[in-house]
This record gives sequence, C-alpha cells and structure tokens, in this order.
Amino acid sequence: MHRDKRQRMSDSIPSQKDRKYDRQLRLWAASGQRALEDASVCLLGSSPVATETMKNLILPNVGSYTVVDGGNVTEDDLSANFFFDSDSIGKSKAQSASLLLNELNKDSTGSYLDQKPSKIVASNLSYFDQFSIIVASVSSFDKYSDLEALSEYLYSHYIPLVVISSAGFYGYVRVVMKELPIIDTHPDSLVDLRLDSPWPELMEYVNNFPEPETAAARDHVPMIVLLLKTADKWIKEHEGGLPTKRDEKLAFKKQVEALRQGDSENVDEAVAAVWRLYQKSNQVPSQIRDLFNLSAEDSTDRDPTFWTLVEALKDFVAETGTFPLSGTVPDFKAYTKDYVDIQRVYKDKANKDLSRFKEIVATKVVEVPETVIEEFSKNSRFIHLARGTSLTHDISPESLAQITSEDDDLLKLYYVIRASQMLGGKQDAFSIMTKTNELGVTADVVEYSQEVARYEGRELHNISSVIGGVASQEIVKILAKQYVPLNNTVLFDGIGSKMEKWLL
Amino acid sequence: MSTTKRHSDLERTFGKEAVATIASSHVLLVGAGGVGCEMLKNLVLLGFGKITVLDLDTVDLSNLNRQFLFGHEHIKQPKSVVARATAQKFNPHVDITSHLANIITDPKFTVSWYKGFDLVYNALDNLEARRHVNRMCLTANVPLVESGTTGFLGQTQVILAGKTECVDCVPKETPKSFPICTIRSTPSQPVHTVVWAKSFLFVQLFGNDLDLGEMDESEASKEELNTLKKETAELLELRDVISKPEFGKNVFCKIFDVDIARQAEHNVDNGRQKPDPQSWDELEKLAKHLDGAHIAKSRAQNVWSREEAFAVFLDATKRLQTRFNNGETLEFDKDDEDTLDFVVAAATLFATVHHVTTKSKFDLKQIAGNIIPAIATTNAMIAALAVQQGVWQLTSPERARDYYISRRGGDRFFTVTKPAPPSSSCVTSSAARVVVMCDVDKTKLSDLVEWVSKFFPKEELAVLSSQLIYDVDFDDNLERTLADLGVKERSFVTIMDDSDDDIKLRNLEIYFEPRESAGEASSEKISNITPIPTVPTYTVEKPEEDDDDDDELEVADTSKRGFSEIDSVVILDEEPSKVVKVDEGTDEVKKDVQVEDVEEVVLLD
Repeated sequence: MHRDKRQRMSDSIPSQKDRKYDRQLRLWAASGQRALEDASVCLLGSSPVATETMKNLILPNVGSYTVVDGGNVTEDDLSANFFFDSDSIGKSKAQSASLLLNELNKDSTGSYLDQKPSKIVASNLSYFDQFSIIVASVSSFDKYSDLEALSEYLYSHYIPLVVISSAGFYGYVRVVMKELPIIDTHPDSLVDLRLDSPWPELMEYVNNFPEPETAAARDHVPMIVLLLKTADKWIKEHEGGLPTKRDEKLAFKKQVEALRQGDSENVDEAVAAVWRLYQKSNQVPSQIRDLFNLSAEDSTDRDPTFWTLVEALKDFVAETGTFPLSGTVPDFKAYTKDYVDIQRVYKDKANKDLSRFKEIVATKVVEVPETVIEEFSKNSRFIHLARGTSLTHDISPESLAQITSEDDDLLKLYYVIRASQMLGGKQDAFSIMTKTNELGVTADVVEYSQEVARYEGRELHNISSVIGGVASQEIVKILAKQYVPLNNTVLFDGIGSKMEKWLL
Repeated sequence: MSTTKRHSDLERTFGKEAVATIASSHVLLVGAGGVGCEMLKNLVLLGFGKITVLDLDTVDLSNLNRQFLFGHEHIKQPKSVVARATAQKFNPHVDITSHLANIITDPKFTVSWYKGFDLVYNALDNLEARRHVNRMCLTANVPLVESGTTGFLGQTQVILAGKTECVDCVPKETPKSFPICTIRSTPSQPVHTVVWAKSFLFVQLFGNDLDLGEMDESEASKEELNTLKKETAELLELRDVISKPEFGKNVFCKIFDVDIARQAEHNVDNGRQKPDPQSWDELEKLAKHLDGAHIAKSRAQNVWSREEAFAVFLDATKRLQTRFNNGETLEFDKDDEDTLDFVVAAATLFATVHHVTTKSKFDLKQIAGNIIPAIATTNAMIAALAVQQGVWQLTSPERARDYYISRRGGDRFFTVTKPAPPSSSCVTSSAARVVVMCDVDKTKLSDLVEWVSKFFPKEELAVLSSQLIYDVDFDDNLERTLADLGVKERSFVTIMDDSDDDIKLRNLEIYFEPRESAGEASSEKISNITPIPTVPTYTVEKPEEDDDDDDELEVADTSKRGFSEIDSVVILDEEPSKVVKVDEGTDEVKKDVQVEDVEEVVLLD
C-alpha cells in the first residue's frame, strides 16, 4: 500500500514540475531546462543588481547557487534592494540575501558564504572551479584588479564569468568566456529543401507526380513539385545549368508564374520560394569553415562532445559535399496525402543522412549520446561557437579603437565607469576623467565623468532591475547552451534611453 | 527603514523635486501577473506614495516560474491581494490598495475613478482589456504606460490622449479561425484536429452550448452544414446516456467509426486518401493492457499511438463524465488536465483517422491553450523600463520613450523610439471625447442629438451605441429614451460625421458617467463634466490602394515608423550562419531584407 502511494507520487512529481515551468519549457525545451537545473551559480555580491539577476535565475529553477559577500547589512543597503528587509540590519549580507532569495523557489538550492570575494581571489582561486558560471557585481570587490585576476583565471579555465554593474542611471553587463559551443541556436527556420541539388529519390517522386486532370488537382500540386519540374525543364533547355544571370532568373520566374491558372495559391508559394533554387547547399558557411579549422586545436578543457561532433561533421561534408538534411518541410498547399508523402521523402533522406553521420561519429574516440547526435545533425548548419575575451582586453588598442567621435558614444561612458571602478568607487569627476584618459581614451569625457561622480556608486532599483534582466537572460542562454549569447558587453543609459553593445 | 534614507538616494539621482512628485503620486497598476509583479516591486522601491493594484485572477502553479510575489501556498488565492501583502512588507510607507475585480465589467471603474490617478500602468495579458483601459485613459486624460511580453520579446509604450499612438493605432493580430468544412472533413494540420476536438466535440459532449468560436461557417456549403447539423443532433442524443458506463463507447463508435465510415463512403474526393474508420473491437484488444491515466501523465512529451490515444480518450471521458454528473459546468481549460487529456486524445485519434501528422500532448497543449511563453528575465527588463517611463512622464515628460525588444529574421533587436504621434487612420485616438451626466431613463435620443449639434455642427450625423441608433435616414428612435435604446451609464456613445463633405469631423465619443459618482445633479438634461471639446476635422483623402498586408507581428513593427523617431537600435542576438536569400532579380546576395530595413535606421541616425 505504502509503496503504491510512493509510486504514484513519483509519477505526479515530474508532471507538477512540467506544469510549474511550462511557460519557459516552450522556449528552451526539456533539454535546456535540464541544463539549467544541473547548473550551479556563484553570485559575488548582494547589491540590488546582484540580487535582481539572481532572482531571475532562481525563478526558472537554476539547480543551485551560492551568495558570496563579506559585509553586513546597513540601513543604506535597504533602500533599493528587495532582498533585504529591516530584520536584516546588522547581519551578514550573504546570509540575509540568500534567506530571502531561497523563498523564491524551493526547487532551487541556495547557500551563502560570508566572505569577501577579493579575499577568495587572493587566497583560493580554485574555489570557483565547482561552479558552472560566476556572476560578479563589480561593487563587491575591494579592488577592480581583483576582479581582473578572477577574470584571467576563469577565462583560462573555460568557466564563464558575467560581470554586472549598476550605478545611478547607468548599468552594464560584460560577459567573459573563452568559448561556448552551442548546438541549438534557435535559427529562424530549419527548413532546407535542397532544391538546388535534389537527391535521386526526391527527383523520382517529382517525376512520378501525376499530371493534374482537374482544376482542383492543378491547384493542389505542391510548390516543390512545380519548382523542380520547371527547373528540370530549364536545365534541359539550357545545357545543364540553373539560371545564374539576372535576366535568366527573371525569365525563370516568368516560367513559374506562367503556371498560374485561376486562384493558384500553390503557384504563389512557388514564386515566393524561387530563391531557394539558388541557395548553395554545398557551400559551407564561413562560420562553420572556421570551426572546421579550429577543431584541430586541442585542449583538455574544451567540450569533447562538441568537438567530436564538429570533426564528424567535417568528415561528413568532405564525403557528401553538404550537410545532413534537417528533414523539416514548411507548410504548403497540397492534398494531405501528397503533403505526407513529401514529408516522408524528406524524412527518409534526413534519416539516411543521420545514420551515416552516426557511423562517422562512432569512429571517433569520444562517445556521444544518440539524442545529442540527432540534435547536432538536425542543426548542423547553424551550430555556433561563441568566442570572447577576458576583462584585460577592454583596454587593448582594438577595443579602444571602437570609440567613435560621436558626443554621446556610450563606449566612452563604459570606459568612464570602468575608470571610476578602477579607482575604487567614490571619486571626484576630475580623478575619473584623468583615469579614463590614462586608459587610452582621448575623447572628451567631462560630462560623463561628472555624472558618474555624482552617483557615488549608488544603485537605482529600476536601473538595476533592467540590468538584472539583461544579465540573467544571457546567463540562461549560456547555461542552457541555446540561442546566441551576448558577446560581450552591453551598456544601458537610463537617462538618454540608449543601449549599445560591443565586442571588447 | 527610515524614509529619509530612501529619499536621499533617490534625490541624488532624480533630484529633490522629482522625488517629491513620485511620493505624492497615486498610480494604478492593472494586472498582477508576470509584468505586474515586477512593476509592483519597482513602484514600491521607488517610493510611490499610493498604489492601487487590480487583478481578477487567482494564483496558478504555472505562474510561479516568474510571478515571484506568490508561492506554492498562495495557489488559488487572489493575485491582487497576495501581491499587495507581499510587496507591502518592503516599504511600509507606501499605501497599497488591492482590487480583486474585472477591469472591464466592474461598475466601480468609471471615468471619474480613472481621473483619480496620476498615471496608469497596464500589465495585462489580453487585448480586450488593453483596449478598454486605453479608451478609458484617453477619455479621462490620464497618461497610460502600456506594456507586454512574449517569451524573449516585449515592449513598453507611453500613451497620452491626442499626443501619442494608442493601443488601437497599430493593428493587432486577430485570432485565426478555420473554415468549418476543413476542420470537420479535410483536416490537414494538427491545429485543425485540436480545434475540432476543443471547439466542437468537447463542447458538444460536455459544454453548455455550441460556440463555433474558432470555426468559420462562411465558406461551408449547404450540404456541409446539413451534415454538420445532423451529426450535432446525434451527438446531443448521446448525452442521454452520459450518466451510464457505456457513454464512452457510444461516443467513440459514433465519431470515430460510424461518422467516418459515412464520410468515407460519400466523399469520393479527387485523389484524397479516404479517412480510416476505427474499430472499437480492434482498439479495445490493442489497448487491453494500457492505463490511460498513466499514459496521459507520463508520456506528455511523446506522440501517442492510436491505442494509447484510445486508452486516454476513454479514461478522460470517464473523468469528465463524473464531473459533469456532479453538476459541474465544464469548460475547456489548458490547465485542467481532464479537459486537456480529452482534447489531446480526441485530436490524436481524429488525426489518425484523417492521416494527419500529430504532435505530443505538450505541443498540442500549446495549440489548444494559445499558450504564450513567459519568462522572468524579459518581464524584469520590460517592467523596469516601463516603470521608468512612467516616472519620466510624471517628472520630465520629454525623456519618456517607447521600448521594443523585437525579432526580425533570426535576430533580436532592442529599439528605443520617441512616442509616435497618433495614427491618422485610428478612430480611437483621433476621436474627441466628453464625459457627461445624464438621466438616461428620461433623456430622449432627440435631446442628445440636439445637445450634440451645438458643437458637432453637422446635419448628417450618425449615433452609435452598440449598434446604429440614429442617422438622417433612420430617425425612428428620436422620441425613445436613451435607456430604451440600450445606452447605459458607464458606456460610450459615438457620434459620427455621416456627410459626404471633403472636410469631415472626427468621431465624438460621449461617456455617460453614473450620476452617483458625478456629484451634484444638474437641472440640464445632459450636462458635461469635462469641457466641451473642439472636434477636429480632417480632409477626406481619395481612396488609395493599400498593399500593405503585413499585419502579423504581435510586437509592434517599429520599422514602419518614420526613421527620425527611432533613437537607437541594438541587435541583441544575431543568428549565426543566416540562411542567405539570393534575390533572383539582382544577382546580389543579401541578408534577410527586413533586417536591412532596421539596420539602415542606425546609419541614418
């Protein structure tokens, strides 16, 4: 009896969880959710921008998190922070913040460490090895150089670091990561019709497609059939090639349009899809070619699964001249039977490609789970490797060269804020200006320096909440290894209502 | 905590005067959902003096991944009440009032009530309520900050009567409907089978009356409609045995066997594959060892086989039967597992019958429930940006901006624009408005027409309430009272220029404020509470062909606006290895055309 009940419980728990996280599962699916729940986050600092970021990670159920802060709560800290209350005064910031953060979601496991981040950086950098990601509020460090030291360490250890900062009307997010491989980038569409290079079974299907005998049947000839038949005819008439020149393309389009008799929604669809004929399926996008070249490089810290799959893809492309077919077809006008048949022709080819791809993967040293191979195969044309820089790269000549002559260039502001942070927070405008110039910024930064000095590092809840939203969004993408994460700096100016982003 | 401390921090950034303005302001927050919770937190921490929060909903489990003012212990409790209690703790000096109420139908919320606020924030999840609050704020002349999110996308917009775009200025996507004959006899997509199961079958068996909702009868032939009528009558007969155990079997045999066999026989269609009737005996054997309740729970991510769907269908039918027989009124709700299981199982069987590919319960739920993805991160961004714009509106209105996080092709954009001026073609934002007090039981339509003619100087005018009640060719109602014609307190009447003049008057909207809230009675039959407006005129343009049919974007299409109004655009996510479209006309390779449109904006600025 007792056992019976437990059994039923375990059945209903996943379903409960699915319901609780339903609205986000619609975006990153079970695989993204699993990755999020396997992740552990280290939060350095507990100021509003830090707790707002953390809140947005606990709610979607990040597996575990540790709040690190060495200070005690004062009345000053209460004004803009939702995660301290009057009971917190005098107590450890890390403890108080984690106490209220824990209440957000019991599924997520929270803990705290009452210690200054700078101290850990100085004494025990390997402490950070246990985490999937480090989220660091700049204001939680004694010295900016401690944050830089942390950045160097994490960068070389392939652990992502997200630096967050908010003061007055300004805030920024700086993502530091050496590389992050992403299989599912959520491209606009996975549709790949291969009309430029149909495989034999597809041509056989098209060639055997019966000539329509009624007007209704004519309106239901699938656009894929219309296009491939017209293309076939063209190739025969034009000695073996699809149109390449402008006038040829226009002439071809006219031939497709000439199929119109009456309503002909299918012809409309064919005309709209003519461009797919000129897609070069056997062309390797430059980003993927770069990956093929990189895959030879070796490092033990790299994701072995991803790089094994890249190696296998390189072999597959070398062998077949193109990528594994995704098998996805769009919706188009057709009789249900024909639609299902065409779907099957594409599915069969996709399965065949997948089997071959699996065979190639099997020859590699690293074993890869079937589901991952399948996902990779389907998305192979859209895989992405995000490659970033460490914090020290901010003041490299190529980063500084991105400053424009515009008066309100926000990149200047980024350097002004960074200079003030390097000086250790509260500073007068002149010192900030001087420090900014020292960094190599030659443009006029008087106004920005005055504004930053005026804020004295104080956070406005609203601005911290915007930055917390932006930062947590990027962290979710990094942890789920889906979508394309920010690379690598974004700054928001709440007075000028502007946002800008750079690769520094 | 001391208020002085909070103030000193805010004063440092906003300035003394602005902080005083914020502290003395009374704001209305409509909605305590994902965006609403974030907004309430921000408003409280910014030190707004008085906040009124309103929501009609109760807390559901699926809210908890983002609506952080609620916990498991609050499920089924009113959102407005819990949100108030949780937020209050963080600033005891803020005066928060909550209403568990429907913003559209509750009689308390008159134009005078709206006038009591300095600012209104919309954090709603449906267009009807958005449009209602929009119209009320335009009438009360109270600034409205409108906001919304969908997954990673969202927007916030400042709305000021006569000065900016309103909710109605940018056409919104209307819900899709499907021709009923497609749904019933030639379904070809999963959505068709879901609509059939949800809006037809479920309602027929367990509902009150048939609301064709998503089904469109206009294209159906007479024959189709007759068949439909016949089958509907037969289904209703089945209800006679709803209290008996054989109900499930009877329903199955009728809809998946008898009806289908009839259809297969009659419709000798042009080459279409005939539908496959399903045999009860065969499926009963196949599903002998299957537990429908278990499958429904544990296999939500998988597409069910027909015997699995069969097992769930019978189990869910049984569950619904019990509830129905207990006197419960059943309505489809995506979060009601019994109704969802029934619809998913029926849709899957229907798809099998018609050779349509189908999807998992998880995916079909999204289709059936019109589920919009919602996450904490986007809500945090949009809510904070929206609250900030409201603060600017109260303290330095020239700073207020509209924000859009939108998607074009594979890229995501962050766009900031100055609030756009009202659209000249929008009847809502171009209308003049006046609030009146009037005894609708005694005042005749002729009194209204006479009163209006003083400042709406047109012979040919039309009067509309929920329908047309007067124009020059339709003067039968003149001696009837307004109440008699369906004009109630708390409702609008629209006066339209019905002339063929080249220069016409815009619409005039008259709101009838209830007498008890309007204060002292006047001796006049109709007396205005707000000043008599000057009704603007416009020059009638020769009709031009409008080939702009791009009305599908839910998030407002910023690229349609004039370039000069866009302050900045940032691409948040760039799609790698974008599918390159080669334009057959130019030989040029270019990125998705729409993306280029937006990128140009950056160059021009």
